[in-house]
Amino acid sequence: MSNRVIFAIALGLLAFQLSFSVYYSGQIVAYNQKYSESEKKYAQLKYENQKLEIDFANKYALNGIITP
Amino acid sequence: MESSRPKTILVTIYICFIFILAKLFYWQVIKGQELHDKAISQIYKLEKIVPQQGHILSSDNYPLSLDYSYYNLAFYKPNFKKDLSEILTEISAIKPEFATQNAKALEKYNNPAQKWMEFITQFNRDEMLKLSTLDGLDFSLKQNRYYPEKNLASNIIFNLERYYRRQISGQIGFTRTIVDGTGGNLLTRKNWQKNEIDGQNIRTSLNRQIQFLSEKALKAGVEKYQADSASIIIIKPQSGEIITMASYESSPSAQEKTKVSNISDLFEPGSIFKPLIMSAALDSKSISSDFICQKCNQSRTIGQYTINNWDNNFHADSTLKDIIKNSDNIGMSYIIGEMGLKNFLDYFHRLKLDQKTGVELTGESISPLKTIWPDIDLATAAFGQGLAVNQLQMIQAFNAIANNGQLVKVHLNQNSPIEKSDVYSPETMALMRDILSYAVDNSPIAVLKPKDMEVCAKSGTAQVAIKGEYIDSNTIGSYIGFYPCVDPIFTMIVTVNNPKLSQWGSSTAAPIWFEIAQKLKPLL
Repeated sequence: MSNRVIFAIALGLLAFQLSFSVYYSGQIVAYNQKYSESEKKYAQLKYENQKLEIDFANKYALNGIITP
Repeated sequence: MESSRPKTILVTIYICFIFILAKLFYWQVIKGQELHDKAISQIYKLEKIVPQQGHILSSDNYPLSLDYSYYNLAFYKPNFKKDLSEILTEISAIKPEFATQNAKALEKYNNPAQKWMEFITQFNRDEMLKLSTLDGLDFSLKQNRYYPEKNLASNIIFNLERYYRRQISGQIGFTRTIVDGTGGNLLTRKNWQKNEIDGQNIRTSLNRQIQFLSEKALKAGVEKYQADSASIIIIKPQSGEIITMASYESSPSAQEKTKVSNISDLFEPGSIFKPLIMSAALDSKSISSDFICQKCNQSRTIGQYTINNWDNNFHADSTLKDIIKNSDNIGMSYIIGEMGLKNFLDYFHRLKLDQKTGVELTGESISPLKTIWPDIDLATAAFGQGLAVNQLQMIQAFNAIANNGQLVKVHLNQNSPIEKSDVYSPETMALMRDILSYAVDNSPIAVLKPKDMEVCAKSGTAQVAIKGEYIDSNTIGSYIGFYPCVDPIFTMIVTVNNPKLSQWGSSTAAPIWFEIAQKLKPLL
């Protein structure tokens, strides 16, 4: 096999590895962002749910209203 | 000279080599584990996931106690990128009371040696998100209980929270994630999570509207009759569900906030015990329904003791109806005599007066049953003297009359199974209801009763024994009964402790009982 062929294969592999890394690292970053956004959204929803429960309890309390 | 230079260089290289080897040995072998742990702690982040605690719900699914989350703020001076005064201005824009609430802590924080300080002010999530952009500020999530109805049934709720601590608390979860250089979470297969388990809700049978009006009526009653305290329990006769349980003290002692005096305090039931004994005597066929007390025209003497009636009057040839109507101690002492100790103890056990009710609360007290029963003790037991029960035990036993002879286990948790046991026959109960109804309609209490209201009830006044002697001035007035007499919708007991205005249960506990009873009908 000539040196040129070996060199071409090596270059091809390098290019493949680079494109593979760039593509998948981009994917990982995107998923990570989605994950952390979902985490934040979940925490926010949990907080809002708790707030709604307290608002409901305060609204229908017989004994007066005190907000924590 | 020329030949020594390469040697010197070589030796230096050797020394350097040995030094590097020694250093590598130090870092990799001696400090290896420590560095490994440090690396792991920097790569992995282990966090607790705090579960949401369960609510305590009333019978209408209203949360009587629930969780709320808040954040506590802490300062870490080395991370500040602004002056403390600038940071405080930004915090005050969101939380104006912060500086005043934490004046002392901030003064202490001015000391340069003080780098870390946590503050008491509670921030909500929105406020935390706005302030978390500032460097040097750290927020920690905290949870607390919130009681929207404030003091309503507060001791019952605190007690339930203690009783159901494990079920309400849930289980803490953990998450282990790999973090990047900035501390952000990375999504990898090596992440690991043990989910938290949220606490269970406890749905009680407490009706908060009835609880509210009962607490109000108790307070008014204590003030009106100048009593030390008063207590009430209302239950559903067929299921044993506790609708209301409350007590009010004129001058509350610094007692435990979980104390439920309805189950922790014992009292002599007095005359409200008579229907239970009469039912037992009829049910065991010790007496017949046409029993007539032929010796009731005088007091009864047993040994050195004399039994008299509460008003010192005697009622010759009293029927069962008369005995209950007149609250005749002498008549009752003869009835229990006919029944005998064995039958008495048998029914006492069947009515579960010798054991705890097992209600889902902590701190229930019971009085141990005597082992020796002289004749006088058996005679006085007929009118509820010389034995002690808690209020819940008493209503559970009396409710057997309301429930056609079946004793139902009282409970607060709506998910608790309904446990029943037979005590009296339905025929005996029909007769007993007739007697109780007659007694209410033909006694002075009848004036308290609305005309269209058929009530089966009994009043009682027990003297309080202090150092083994009964004292006239210190009494417990009680009224216990159910409405209506057939297929009742509630059974209620009211006790008034040491009323100064009148010592009788019929003129203290009974008015409170009827006042509440009239309001209950539309609420049940």
